[in-house]
Amino acid sequence: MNRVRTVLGDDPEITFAEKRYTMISGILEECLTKTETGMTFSDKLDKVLLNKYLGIPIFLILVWALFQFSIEASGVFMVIIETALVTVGEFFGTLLAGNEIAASLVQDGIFGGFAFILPFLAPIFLMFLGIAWLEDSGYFARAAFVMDKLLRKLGVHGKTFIPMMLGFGCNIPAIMACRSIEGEKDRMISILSNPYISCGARLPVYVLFAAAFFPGFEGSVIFLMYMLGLAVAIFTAWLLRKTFFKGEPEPFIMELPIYRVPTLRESVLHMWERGVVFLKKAGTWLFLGAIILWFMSAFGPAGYLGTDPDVSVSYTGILGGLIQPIFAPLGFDWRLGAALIFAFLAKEIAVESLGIIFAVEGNVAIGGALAGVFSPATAAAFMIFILLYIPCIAAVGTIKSETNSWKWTLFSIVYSIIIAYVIAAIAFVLLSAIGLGVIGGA
Amino acid sequence: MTVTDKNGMGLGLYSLAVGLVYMFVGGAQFVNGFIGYETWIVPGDWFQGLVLVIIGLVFSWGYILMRKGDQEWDSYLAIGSLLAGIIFALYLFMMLANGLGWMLGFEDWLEWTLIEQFQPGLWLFAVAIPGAYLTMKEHV
Repeated sequence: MNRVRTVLGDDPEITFAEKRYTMISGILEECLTKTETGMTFSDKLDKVLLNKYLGIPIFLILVWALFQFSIEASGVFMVIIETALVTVGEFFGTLLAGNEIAASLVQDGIFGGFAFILPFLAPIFLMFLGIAWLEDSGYFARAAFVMDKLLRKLGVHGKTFIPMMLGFGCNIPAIMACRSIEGEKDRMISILSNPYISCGARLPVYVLFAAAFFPGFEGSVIFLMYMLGLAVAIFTAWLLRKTFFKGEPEPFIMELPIYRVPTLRESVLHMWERGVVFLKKAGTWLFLGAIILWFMSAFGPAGYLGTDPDVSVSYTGILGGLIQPIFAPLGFDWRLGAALIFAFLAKEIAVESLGIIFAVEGNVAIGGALAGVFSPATAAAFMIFILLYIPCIAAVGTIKSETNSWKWTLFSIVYSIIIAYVIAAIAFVLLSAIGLGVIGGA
Repeated sequence: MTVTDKNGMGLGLYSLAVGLVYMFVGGAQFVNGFIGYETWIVPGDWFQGLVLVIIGLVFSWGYILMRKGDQEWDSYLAIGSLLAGIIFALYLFMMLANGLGWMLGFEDWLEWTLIEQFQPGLWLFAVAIPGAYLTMKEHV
Protein backbone atom coordinates (compact mmCIF):
# COMPACT_ATOMS: atom_id res chain seq x y z
CA MET A 1 0.00 0.00 0.00
CA ASN A 2 2.86 2.36 0.84
CA ARG A 3 4.36 1.77 -2.63
CA VAL A 4 0.99 2.53 -4.26
CA ARG A 5 0.75 5.66 -2.12
CA THR A 6 4.21 6.79 -3.29
CA VAL A 7 3.47 6.10 -6.97
CA LEU A 8 0.03 7.75 -6.96
CA GLY A 9 1.04 10.64 -4.74
CA ASP A 10 -2.29 10.38 -2.91
CA ASP A 11 -4.04 8.00 -0.59
CA PRO A 12 -4.79 4.74 -2.46
CA GLU A 13 -8.30 4.43 -0.93
CA ILE A 14 -9.26 7.86 -2.30
CA THR A 15 -7.65 7.17 -5.67
CA PHE A 16 -9.44 3.81 -6.00
CA ALA A 17 -12.77 5.41 -5.07
CA GLU A 18 -12.28 8.22 -7.59
CA LYS A 19 -11.36 5.74 -10.36
CA ARG A 20 -14.33 3.53 -9.47
CA TYR A 21 -16.80 6.42 -9.65
CA THR A 22 -15.23 7.77 -12.87
CA MET A 23 -15.78 4.34 -14.40
CA ILE A 24 -19.39 4.20 -13.14
CA SER A 25 -20.06 7.67 -14.58
CA GLY A 26 -18.60 6.61 -17.91
CA ILE A 27 -20.77 3.50 -18.10
CA LEU A 28 -23.87 5.50 -17.12
CA GLU A 29 -23.17 8.13 -19.78
CA GLU A 30 -22.99 5.44 -22.42
CA CYS A 31 -26.09 3.47 -21.48
CA LEU A 32 -28.42 5.99 -19.79
CA THR A 33 -30.41 8.76 -21.41
CA LYS A 34 -31.22 11.53 -18.96
CA THR A 35 -34.54 13.20 -19.58
CA GLU A 36 -34.14 15.82 -16.90
CA THR A 37 -31.09 17.52 -15.51
CA GLY A 38 -30.73 19.24 -12.18
CA MET A 39 -30.47 18.22 -8.59
CA THR A 40 -32.54 15.46 -7.01
CA PHE A 41 -34.41 16.17 -3.76
CA SER A 42 -31.72 14.19 -1.89
CA ASP A 43 -29.02 16.43 -3.40
CA LYS A 44 -31.01 19.51 -2.42
CA LEU A 45 -31.37 18.31 1.16
CA ASP A 46 -27.67 17.52 1.30
CA LYS A 47 -26.86 21.03 0.13
CA VAL A 48 -28.29 22.31 3.43
CA LEU A 49 -27.77 19.41 5.83
CA LEU A 50 -24.11 19.07 4.85
CA ASN A 51 -23.56 22.84 4.76
CA LYS A 52 -20.19 23.86 6.16
CA TYR A 53 -21.74 26.23 8.70
CA LEU A 54 -25.29 24.98 9.19
CA GLY A 55 -24.61 21.21 9.20
CA ILE A 56 -23.54 20.93 12.85
CA PRO A 57 -26.21 23.33 14.27
CA ILE A 58 -28.92 21.39 12.38
CA PHE A 59 -27.52 18.12 13.74
CA LEU A 60 -27.69 19.58 17.27
CA ILE A 61 -31.31 20.72 16.73
CA LEU A 62 -32.32 17.21 15.67
CA VAL A 63 -30.56 15.58 18.65
CA TRP A 64 -32.15 18.14 21.01
CA ALA A 65 -35.57 17.42 19.49
CA LEU A 66 -34.92 13.70 20.00
CA PHE A 67 -34.35 14.18 23.74
CA GLN A 68 -37.27 16.56 24.15
CA PHE A 69 -39.45 13.95 22.44
CA SER A 70 -38.26 11.06 24.60
CA ILE A 71 -38.05 12.85 27.96
CA GLU A 72 -40.70 15.55 28.12
CA ALA A 73 -43.43 13.47 26.49
CA SER A 74 -42.81 10.24 28.40
CA GLY A 75 -43.69 11.42 31.93
CA VAL A 76 -47.33 10.37 31.80
CA PHE A 77 -46.50 6.90 30.44
CA MET A 78 -43.94 6.45 33.22
CA VAL A 79 -46.60 7.18 35.85
CA ILE A 80 -49.02 4.69 34.23
CA ILE A 81 -46.41 1.87 34.33
CA GLU A 82 -45.30 2.77 37.86
CA THR A 83 -48.84 2.88 39.24
CA ALA A 84 -49.60 -0.54 37.76
CA LEU A 85 -46.44 -2.12 39.25
CA VAL A 86 -46.92 -0.61 42.71
CA THR A 87 -50.53 -1.84 42.76
CA VAL A 88 -49.51 -5.39 41.78
CA GLY A 89 -46.68 -5.31 44.38
CA GLU A 90 -49.08 -4.25 47.12
CA PHE A 91 -51.46 -7.03 46.13
CA PHE A 92 -48.74 -9.69 46.45
CA GLY A 93 -47.48 -8.06 49.66
CA THR A 94 -50.98 -8.47 51.13
CA LEU A 95 -51.09 -12.13 50.06
CA LEU A 96 -47.79 -12.80 51.91
CA ALA A 97 -48.69 -10.69 54.94
CA GLY A 98 -48.10 -13.64 57.29
CA ASN A 99 -44.39 -13.84 56.45
CA GLU A 100 -42.69 -10.50 57.04
CA ILE A 101 -39.40 -11.28 55.23
CA ALA A 102 -41.12 -12.85 52.17
CA ALA A 103 -43.60 -9.95 51.95
CA SER A 104 -40.72 -7.43 52.15
CA LEU A 105 -38.75 -9.33 49.48
CA VAL A 106 -41.70 -9.45 47.06
CA GLN A 107 -43.19 -5.99 47.70
CA ASP A 108 -40.07 -3.89 48.40
CA GLY A 109 -37.38 -5.93 46.71
CA ILE A 110 -38.88 -7.36 43.52
CA PHE A 111 -41.91 -5.18 42.67
CA GLY A 112 -40.39 -2.11 44.40
CA GLY A 113 -37.24 -2.56 42.27
CA PHE A 114 -39.24 -3.03 39.08
CA ALA A 115 -41.38 0.00 39.91
CA PHE A 116 -38.20 2.08 39.83
CA ILE A 117 -36.81 0.63 36.61
CA LEU A 118 -39.63 -0.43 34.29
CA PRO A 119 -41.25 3.04 34.03
CA PHE A 120 -38.09 4.09 32.19
CA LEU A 121 -39.16 1.85 29.34
CA ALA A 122 -41.27 4.83 28.20
CA PRO A 123 -38.41 7.33 27.56
CA ILE A 124 -36.10 4.55 26.35
CA PHE A 125 -38.59 3.27 23.76
CA LEU A 126 -39.43 6.82 22.63
CA MET A 127 -35.72 7.62 22.27
CA PHE A 128 -35.15 4.48 20.21
CA LEU A 129 -38.15 5.39 18.05
CA GLY A 130 -36.59 8.81 17.40
CA ILE A 131 -33.20 7.25 16.62
CA ALA A 132 -34.91 4.79 14.24
CA TRP A 133 -36.53 7.73 12.39
CA LEU A 134 -33.20 9.51 12.00
CA GLU A 135 -31.50 6.31 10.91
CA ASP A 136 -34.20 5.15 8.48
CA SER A 137 -34.49 8.58 6.87
CA GLY A 138 -30.82 8.38 5.85
CA TYR A 139 -29.78 11.27 8.11
CA PHE A 140 -27.48 9.32 10.45
CA ALA A 141 -24.96 8.71 7.67
CA ARG A 142 -24.97 12.48 7.01
CA ALA A 143 -24.34 13.17 10.69
CA ALA A 144 -21.14 11.12 10.48
CA PHE A 145 -20.18 12.99 7.33
CA VAL A 146 -20.82 16.39 8.95
CA MET A 147 -18.84 15.47 12.05
CA ASP A 148 -15.96 14.08 9.99
CA LYS A 149 -14.74 17.61 9.23
CA LEU A 150 -14.55 18.42 12.92
CA LEU A 151 -13.12 15.04 13.93
CA ARG A 152 -10.46 15.08 11.23
CA LYS A 153 -9.15 18.40 12.54
CA LEU A 154 -8.66 16.61 15.86
CA GLY A 155 -6.90 13.72 14.15
CA VAL A 156 -9.82 11.33 14.65
CA HIS A 157 -11.23 9.03 11.97
CA GLY A 158 -14.64 10.17 10.71
CA LYS A 159 -15.97 6.61 10.85
CA THR A 160 -15.51 6.74 14.64
CA PHE A 161 -18.69 8.80 14.77
CA ILE A 162 -20.87 5.91 13.53
CA PRO A 163 -20.14 3.66 16.56
CA MET A 164 -20.56 6.79 18.68
CA MET A 165 -24.10 7.25 17.34
CA LEU A 166 -24.82 3.56 17.96
CA GLY A 167 -23.57 4.10 21.52
CA PHE A 168 -26.63 6.28 22.22
CA GLY A 169 -28.51 2.96 22.23
CA CYS A 170 -26.00 0.63 23.90
CA ASN A 171 -22.20 0.78 24.16
CA ILE A 172 -21.73 -2.96 23.70
CA PRO A 173 -22.84 -3.27 20.03
CA ALA A 174 -21.25 0.14 19.44
CA ILE A 175 -17.84 -1.08 20.65
CA MET A 176 -18.27 -4.21 18.53
CA ALA A 177 -19.14 -2.01 15.52
CA CYS A 178 -15.62 -0.53 15.74
CA ARG A 179 -14.47 -3.71 13.93
CA SER A 180 -15.52 -2.01 10.69
CA ILE A 181 -12.77 0.59 11.12
CA GLU A 182 -9.79 -0.55 9.07
CA GLY A 183 -6.66 0.96 10.69
CA GLU A 184 -5.60 -0.69 13.98
CA LYS A 185 -4.84 2.66 15.63
CA ASP A 186 -8.15 4.17 14.49
CA ARG A 187 -10.00 1.08 15.73
CA MET A 188 -8.37 1.23 19.18
CA ILE A 189 -9.14 4.94 19.47
CA SER A 190 -12.79 4.26 18.55
CA ILE A 191 -13.13 1.42 21.08
CA LEU A 192 -11.54 3.34 23.96
CA SER A 193 -13.48 6.55 23.35
CA ASN A 194 -16.91 4.91 22.89
CA PRO A 195 -17.82 4.22 26.56
CA TYR A 196 -18.27 7.97 27.19
CA ILE A 197 -21.20 8.09 24.79
CA SER A 198 -24.30 8.04 26.94
CA CYS A 199 -26.21 4.79 26.44
CA GLY A 200 -29.90 4.13 27.17
CA ALA A 201 -29.04 2.61 30.56
CA ARG A 202 -27.86 5.98 31.89
CA LEU A 203 -31.12 7.63 30.86
CA PRO A 204 -33.16 6.53 33.94
CA VAL A 205 -30.60 8.20 36.21
CA TYR A 206 -30.77 11.47 34.25
CA VAL A 207 -34.57 11.42 34.06
CA LEU A 208 -34.84 10.91 37.83
CA PHE A 209 -32.29 13.58 38.80
CA ALA A 210 -33.22 16.14 36.12
CA ALA A 211 -36.92 15.96 37.08
CA ALA A 212 -36.12 16.26 40.79
CA PHE A 213 -33.52 19.04 40.60
CA PHE A 214 -34.13 20.91 37.34
CA PRO A 215 -37.93 20.85 36.83
CA GLY A 216 -39.08 22.40 33.56
CA PHE A 217 -35.63 21.96 31.99
CA GLU A 218 -35.36 18.17 32.03
CA GLY A 219 -35.03 17.78 28.26
CA SER A 220 -32.35 20.44 27.94
CA VAL A 221 -30.38 19.15 30.96
CA ILE A 222 -30.41 15.62 29.55
CA PHE A 223 -29.42 16.94 26.11
CA LEU A 224 -26.43 18.62 27.81
CA MET A 225 -25.47 15.32 29.45
CA TYR A 226 -25.45 13.59 26.07
CA MET A 227 -23.43 16.42 24.54
CA LEU A 228 -20.95 16.24 27.43
CA GLY A 229 -20.53 12.51 26.80
CA LEU A 230 -19.93 13.20 23.11
CA ALA A 231 -17.40 15.96 23.93
CA VAL A 232 -15.49 13.70 26.36
CA ALA A 233 -15.48 10.88 23.79
CA ILE A 234 -14.03 13.24 21.14
CA PHE A 235 -11.53 14.66 23.64
CA THR A 236 -10.43 11.14 24.62
CA ALA A 237 -10.03 10.19 20.96
CA TRP A 238 -7.92 13.32 20.39
CA LEU A 239 -5.80 12.59 23.50
CA LEU A 240 -5.17 8.99 22.44
CA ARG A 241 -4.18 10.16 18.95
CA LYS A 242 -1.70 12.64 20.41
CA THR A 243 -0.19 10.16 22.87
CA PHE A 244 -0.48 6.39 22.39
CA PHE A 245 -1.69 6.13 18.80
CA LYS A 246 0.23 8.80 16.92
CA GLY A 247 -0.23 9.17 13.17
CA GLU A 248 -2.73 10.34 10.61
CA PRO A 249 -6.25 8.86 10.50
CA GLU A 250 -7.09 6.61 7.57
CA PRO A 251 -9.20 8.31 4.83
CA PHE A 252 -12.97 8.25 5.32
CA ILE A 253 -14.93 7.17 2.27
CA MET A 254 -18.62 6.62 2.65
CA GLU A 255 -21.55 6.19 0.30
CA LEU A 256 -24.49 8.30 1.41
CA PRO A 257 -27.88 6.62 1.05
CA ILE A 258 -30.70 8.62 -0.54
CA TYR A 259 -33.23 10.19 1.82
CA ARG A 260 -36.57 8.53 2.29
CA VAL A 261 -39.61 8.92 4.49
CA PRO A 262 -39.32 6.28 7.26
CA THR A 263 -42.25 3.88 7.50
CA LEU A 264 -43.95 3.47 10.87
CA ARG A 265 -43.67 -0.34 10.70
CA GLU A 266 -39.90 -0.32 10.14
CA SER A 267 -39.29 2.36 12.77
CA VAL A 268 -41.36 0.52 15.38
CA LEU A 269 -39.52 -2.70 14.53
CA HIS A 270 -36.13 -1.03 14.99
CA MET A 271 -37.34 0.58 18.22
CA TRP A 272 -38.46 -2.81 19.51
CA GLU A 273 -35.19 -4.55 18.54
CA ARG A 274 -33.20 -2.07 20.63
CA GLY A 275 -35.69 -1.57 23.46
CA VAL A 276 -36.20 -5.27 24.06
CA VAL A 277 -32.55 -5.48 25.18
CA PHE A 278 -33.48 -3.25 28.12
CA LEU A 279 -36.56 -5.37 28.80
CA LYS A 280 -34.47 -8.57 28.84
CA LYS A 281 -31.96 -6.90 31.13
CA ALA A 282 -34.80 -5.94 33.48
CA GLY A 283 -35.86 -9.59 33.63
CA THR A 284 -32.34 -10.90 34.36
CA TRP A 285 -29.62 -8.54 35.63
CA LEU A 286 -31.94 -5.97 37.14
CA PHE A 287 -34.08 -8.67 38.76
CA LEU A 288 -30.95 -10.21 40.27
CA GLY A 289 -29.71 -6.75 41.25
CA ALA A 290 -33.03 -6.01 42.98
CA ILE A 291 -32.75 -9.16 45.11
CA ILE A 292 -29.08 -8.53 46.02
CA LEU A 293 -29.90 -4.91 46.82
CA TRP A 294 -32.88 -5.84 48.96
CA PHE A 295 -30.79 -8.42 50.87
CA MET A 296 -27.89 -6.01 51.45
CA SER A 297 -30.24 -3.23 52.58
CA ALA A 298 -32.58 -5.38 54.72
CA PHE A 299 -29.77 -7.25 56.46
CA GLY A 300 -26.69 -6.09 58.34
CA PRO A 301 -24.14 -7.61 60.72
CA ALA A 302 -26.96 -7.66 63.29
CA GLY A 303 -29.21 -9.77 61.02
CA TYR A 304 -32.64 -8.82 59.57
CA LEU A 305 -33.29 -5.13 60.20
CA GLY A 306 -37.11 -5.20 60.08
CA THR A 307 -39.77 -3.80 57.75
CA ASP A 308 -38.64 -0.16 57.96
CA PRO A 309 -34.89 -0.66 58.27
CA ASP A 310 -32.20 1.89 59.05
CA VAL A 311 -30.22 1.24 55.84
CA SER A 312 -27.15 3.08 57.19
CA VAL A 313 -26.40 0.05 59.43
CA SER A 314 -27.08 -2.49 56.66
CA TYR A 315 -24.44 -4.04 54.43
CA THR A 316 -25.32 -1.42 51.77
CA GLY A 317 -24.74 1.38 54.31
CA ILE A 318 -21.41 -0.11 55.37
CA LEU A 319 -20.29 -0.45 51.74
CA GLY A 320 -21.35 3.11 50.88
CA GLY A 321 -19.65 4.42 54.02
CA LEU A 322 -16.35 2.87 52.96
CA ILE A 323 -16.10 4.95 49.78
CA GLN A 324 -17.94 8.03 51.06
CA PRO A 325 -14.77 9.97 52.05
CA ILE A 326 -13.49 9.76 48.46
CA PHE A 327 -16.68 11.36 47.13
CA ALA A 328 -17.27 13.87 49.93
CA PRO A 329 -15.69 16.73 47.88
CA LEU A 330 -18.46 16.16 45.27
CA GLY A 331 -21.18 16.38 47.92
CA PHE A 332 -21.95 12.62 47.76
CA ASP A 333 -22.88 10.82 50.97
CA TRP A 334 -22.81 7.05 51.62
CA ARG A 335 -26.12 6.61 49.77
CA LEU A 336 -24.85 7.99 46.45
CA GLY A 337 -21.56 6.12 47.03
CA ALA A 338 -23.43 2.82 47.42
CA ALA A 339 -25.52 3.57 44.30
CA LEU A 340 -22.29 4.07 42.30
CA ILE A 341 -20.93 0.70 43.42
CA PHE A 342 -24.11 -1.17 42.41
CA ALA A 343 -24.35 0.78 39.13
CA PHE A 344 -21.21 -0.99 37.94
CA LEU A 345 -23.42 -4.04 37.28
CA ALA A 346 -25.72 -1.91 35.09
CA LYS A 347 -26.13 1.85 35.30
CA GLU A 348 -29.91 1.70 35.81
CA ILE A 349 -29.35 -0.09 39.12
CA ALA A 350 -28.34 3.28 40.59
CA VAL A 351 -32.02 4.29 40.49
CA GLU A 352 -33.16 0.99 41.98
CA SER A 353 -30.59 1.17 44.77
CA LEU A 354 -31.52 4.76 45.68
CA GLY A 355 -35.17 3.69 45.84
CA ILE A 356 -34.35 0.86 48.24
CA ILE A 357 -31.93 2.96 50.32
CA PHE A 358 -34.46 5.80 50.71
CA ALA A 359 -37.21 3.21 51.33
CA VAL A 360 -39.78 5.01 49.18
CA GLU A 361 -42.06 3.78 46.42
CA GLY A 362 -42.16 5.32 42.96
CA ASN A 363 -39.96 7.77 41.10
CA VAL A 364 -41.86 10.88 42.19
CA ALA A 365 -41.33 9.94 45.84
CA ILE A 366 -37.65 9.17 45.36
CA GLY A 367 -37.18 12.41 43.42
CA GLY A 368 -38.69 14.33 46.32
CA ALA A 369 -36.52 12.44 48.82
CA LEU A 370 -33.35 13.20 46.82
CA ALA A 371 -34.23 16.89 46.42
CA GLY A 372 -34.66 17.14 50.18
CA VAL A 373 -31.16 15.82 50.88
CA PHE A 374 -28.89 16.91 48.03
CA SER A 375 -28.21 20.18 46.21
CA PRO A 376 -28.60 20.63 42.41
CA ALA A 377 -24.78 20.89 42.21
CA THR A 378 -24.42 17.45 43.82
CA ALA A 379 -27.14 16.09 41.51
CA ALA A 380 -25.30 17.39 38.43
CA ALA A 381 -21.98 15.97 39.71
CA PHE A 382 -23.68 12.59 40.29
CA MET A 383 -25.19 12.56 36.77
CA ILE A 384 -21.79 13.42 35.30
CA PHE A 385 -20.06 10.71 37.34
CA ILE A 386 -22.67 8.14 36.24
CA LEU A 387 -22.17 9.26 32.63
CA LEU A 388 -18.39 9.02 32.60
CA TYR A 389 -17.13 6.44 35.09
CA ILE A 390 -16.57 2.77 34.21
CA PRO A 391 -19.21 1.52 31.79
CA CYS A 392 -21.21 -1.49 32.98
CA ILE A 393 -19.55 -4.83 33.59
CA ALA A 394 -20.72 -6.19 30.21
CA ALA A 395 -19.18 -3.22 28.36
CA VAL A 396 -15.86 -3.77 30.19
CA GLY A 397 -15.96 -7.41 29.04
CA THR A 398 -16.57 -6.24 25.46
CA ILE A 399 -13.63 -3.81 25.63
CA LYS A 400 -11.43 -6.71 26.78
CA SER A 401 -12.57 -8.99 23.96
CA GLU A 402 -12.35 -6.29 21.26
CA THR A 403 -8.94 -4.90 22.29
CA ASN A 404 -7.70 -8.36 23.27
CA SER A 405 -5.69 -6.60 25.94
CA TRP A 406 -5.98 -6.42 29.73
CA LYS A 407 -3.67 -3.41 29.61
CA TRP A 408 -6.08 -1.31 27.55
CA THR A 409 -9.10 -2.59 29.48
CA LEU A 410 -7.48 -1.51 32.74
CA PHE A 411 -6.49 1.80 31.15
CA SER A 412 -10.11 2.35 30.14
CA ILE A 413 -11.34 1.71 33.70
CA VAL A 414 -8.75 3.89 35.46
CA TYR A 415 -8.95 6.73 32.92
CA SER A 416 -12.76 6.77 33.08
CA ILE A 417 -12.78 7.06 36.88
CA ILE A 418 -10.22 9.88 36.82
CA ILE A 419 -11.97 11.88 34.09
CA ALA A 420 -15.39 11.31 35.72
CA TYR A 421 -14.09 12.55 39.07
CA VAL A 422 -12.33 15.60 37.61
CA ILE A 423 -15.26 16.76 35.45
CA ALA A 424 -17.83 16.07 38.21
CA ALA A 425 -15.69 18.07 40.65
CA ILE A 426 -15.39 20.99 38.20
CA ALA A 427 -19.18 20.98 37.64
CA PHE A 428 -19.82 20.81 41.40
CA VAL A 429 -17.53 23.78 42.10
CA LEU A 430 -18.90 25.88 39.21
CA LEU A 431 -22.56 25.19 40.03
CA SER A 432 -21.95 25.82 43.74
CA ALA A 433 -20.36 29.15 42.81
CA ILE A 434 -23.57 30.25 41.06
CA GLY A 435 -25.76 29.37 44.02
CA LEU A 436 -26.79 25.81 43.13
CA GLY A 437 -24.79 24.29 45.97
CA VAL A 438 -27.58 24.59 48.51
CA ILE A 439 -30.39 22.11 49.05
CA GLY A 440 -33.51 23.25 47.20
CA GLY A 441 -31.50 25.85 45.26
CA ALA A 442 -32.50 25.00 41.69
CA MET B 1 -40.43 23.22 -5.13
CA THR B 2 -40.75 24.70 -8.59
CA VAL B 3 -39.17 28.11 -8.50
CA THR B 4 -39.78 30.27 -11.53
CA ASP B 5 -38.72 33.83 -12.34
CA LYS B 6 -42.29 34.84 -11.57
CA ASN B 7 -42.57 33.40 -8.09
CA GLY B 8 -38.86 33.29 -7.19
CA MET B 9 -38.56 36.75 -5.65
CA GLY B 10 -41.86 36.36 -3.78
CA LEU B 11 -40.79 33.01 -2.32
CA GLY B 12 -37.39 34.42 -1.45
CA LEU B 13 -38.95 37.34 0.43
CA TYR B 14 -41.32 34.94 2.16
CA SER B 15 -38.35 32.80 3.24
CA LEU B 16 -36.58 35.90 4.60
CA ALA B 17 -39.69 37.07 6.44
CA VAL B 18 -40.24 33.66 8.09
CA GLY B 19 -36.54 33.53 8.98
CA LEU B 20 -36.63 36.95 10.61
CA VAL B 21 -39.77 36.10 12.61
CA TYR B 22 -38.18 32.87 13.90
CA MET B 23 -34.93 34.64 14.75
CA PHE B 24 -36.73 37.50 16.52
CA VAL B 25 -38.98 35.27 18.64
CA GLY B 26 -36.15 32.77 19.25
CA GLY B 27 -33.84 35.63 20.27
CA ALA B 28 -36.48 36.95 22.69
CA GLN B 29 -36.95 33.47 24.19
CA PHE B 30 -33.18 33.08 24.48
CA VAL B 31 -32.80 36.44 26.28
CA ASN B 32 -35.85 35.75 28.49
CA GLY B 33 -34.23 32.48 29.52
CA PHE B 34 -31.16 34.29 30.76
CA ILE B 35 -32.79 37.23 32.51
CA GLY B 36 -35.66 35.15 33.92
CA TYR B 37 -38.38 37.24 32.25
CA GLU B 38 -41.53 35.29 31.37
CA THR B 39 -44.53 36.08 29.18
CA TRP B 40 -47.12 33.47 28.30
CA ILE B 41 -46.45 33.90 24.59
CA VAL B 42 -42.62 33.88 24.79
CA PRO B 43 -41.55 31.94 27.91
CA GLY B 44 -37.89 32.06 28.86
CA ASP B 45 -35.80 29.12 27.67
CA TRP B 46 -32.42 29.81 26.14
CA PHE B 47 -32.15 26.34 24.61
CA GLN B 48 -35.48 26.48 22.79
CA GLY B 49 -34.69 30.05 21.80
CA LEU B 50 -31.42 28.95 20.23
CA VAL B 51 -33.21 26.24 18.27
CA LEU B 52 -35.64 28.80 16.80
CA VAL B 53 -32.78 31.17 15.93
CA ILE B 54 -31.02 28.40 13.98
CA ILE B 55 -34.24 27.56 12.11
CA GLY B 56 -34.62 31.26 11.30
CA LEU B 57 -31.06 31.29 10.05
CA VAL B 58 -31.76 28.38 7.68
CA PHE B 59 -34.78 30.24 6.19
CA SER B 60 -32.82 33.49 5.81
CA TRP B 61 -29.81 31.72 4.28
CA GLY B 62 -32.03 30.73 1.35
CA TYR B 63 -32.86 34.37 0.63
CA ILE B 64 -29.17 35.37 0.72
CA LEU B 65 -28.34 32.63 -1.79
CA MET B 66 -31.25 33.66 -4.01
CA ARG B 67 -29.89 37.20 -4.12
CA LYS B 68 -26.54 35.73 -5.17
CA GLY B 69 -28.27 33.92 -8.03
CA ASP B 70 -27.95 30.38 -6.62
CA GLN B 71 -30.55 28.23 -8.44
CA GLU B 72 -30.88 25.81 -5.54
CA TRP B 73 -31.63 28.36 -2.83
CA ASP B 74 -35.09 26.85 -2.27
CA SER B 75 -33.40 23.85 -0.56
CA TYR B 76 -33.06 26.14 2.48
CA LEU B 77 -36.75 26.98 2.43
CA ALA B 78 -37.54 23.24 2.27
CA ILE B 79 -35.19 22.33 5.17
CA GLY B 80 -36.31 25.34 7.22
CA SER B 81 -39.94 24.25 6.77
CA LEU B 82 -39.02 20.65 7.63
CA LEU B 83 -37.25 21.69 10.85
CA ALA B 84 -40.11 24.03 11.79
CA GLY B 85 -42.51 21.12 11.17
CA ILE B 86 -40.45 18.75 13.34
CA ILE B 87 -40.43 21.21 16.25
CA PHE B 88 -44.18 21.81 15.81
CA ALA B 89 -44.91 18.06 15.81
CA LEU B 90 -42.71 17.67 18.89
CA TYR B 91 -44.63 20.27 20.90
CA LEU B 92 -47.95 18.92 19.69
CA PHE B 93 -47.01 15.42 20.88
CA MET B 94 -45.87 16.82 24.23
CA MET B 95 -49.16 18.70 24.54
CA LEU B 96 -51.19 15.55 23.82
CA ALA B 97 -49.12 13.44 26.27
CA ASN B 98 -49.47 16.00 29.07
CA GLY B 99 -53.15 16.44 28.24
CA LEU B 100 -53.56 12.69 28.77
CA GLY B 101 -51.93 13.00 32.22
CA TRP B 102 -54.37 15.80 33.09
CA MET B 103 -57.36 13.82 31.80
CA LEU B 104 -56.33 10.77 33.85
CA GLY B 105 -56.08 12.99 36.92
CA PHE B 106 -52.46 12.19 37.83
CA GLU B 107 -51.10 14.26 40.68
CA ASP B 108 -48.31 15.96 38.71
CA TRP B 109 -50.74 17.12 36.04
CA LEU B 110 -53.50 18.51 38.24
CA GLU B 111 -52.30 22.08 37.70
CA TRP B 112 -51.43 21.57 34.05
CA THR B 113 -52.96 24.08 31.64
CA LEU B 114 -53.05 24.20 27.87
CA ILE B 115 -51.56 27.70 27.87
CA GLU B 116 -48.27 26.59 29.48
CA GLN B 117 -47.80 24.18 26.58
CA PHE B 118 -48.30 26.93 24.03
CA GLN B 119 -44.60 27.26 23.17
CA PRO B 120 -43.33 29.57 20.38
CA GLY B 121 -42.15 26.52 18.39
CA LEU B 122 -45.82 25.54 18.21
CA TRP B 123 -47.55 28.77 17.20
CA LEU B 124 -44.69 30.03 15.01
CA PHE B 125 -45.30 27.13 12.66
CA ALA B 126 -48.36 29.02 11.39
CA VAL B 127 -46.04 31.32 9.41
CA ALA B 128 -44.03 28.37 8.07
CA ILE B 129 -47.07 26.40 6.84
CA PRO B 130 -47.01 27.77 3.25
CA GLY B 131 -43.35 26.74 2.88
CA ALA B 132 -44.04 23.33 4.39
CA TYR B 133 -47.06 22.90 2.09
CA LEU B 134 -45.02 23.76 -1.01
CA THR B 135 -42.26 21.33 0.02
CA MET B 136 -44.75 18.54 0.69
CA LYS B 137 -46.58 19.18 -2.57
CA GLU B 138 -43.41 19.08 -4.59
CA HIS B 139 -41.46 16.24 -2.98
CA VAL B 140 -43.55 13.95 -0.78
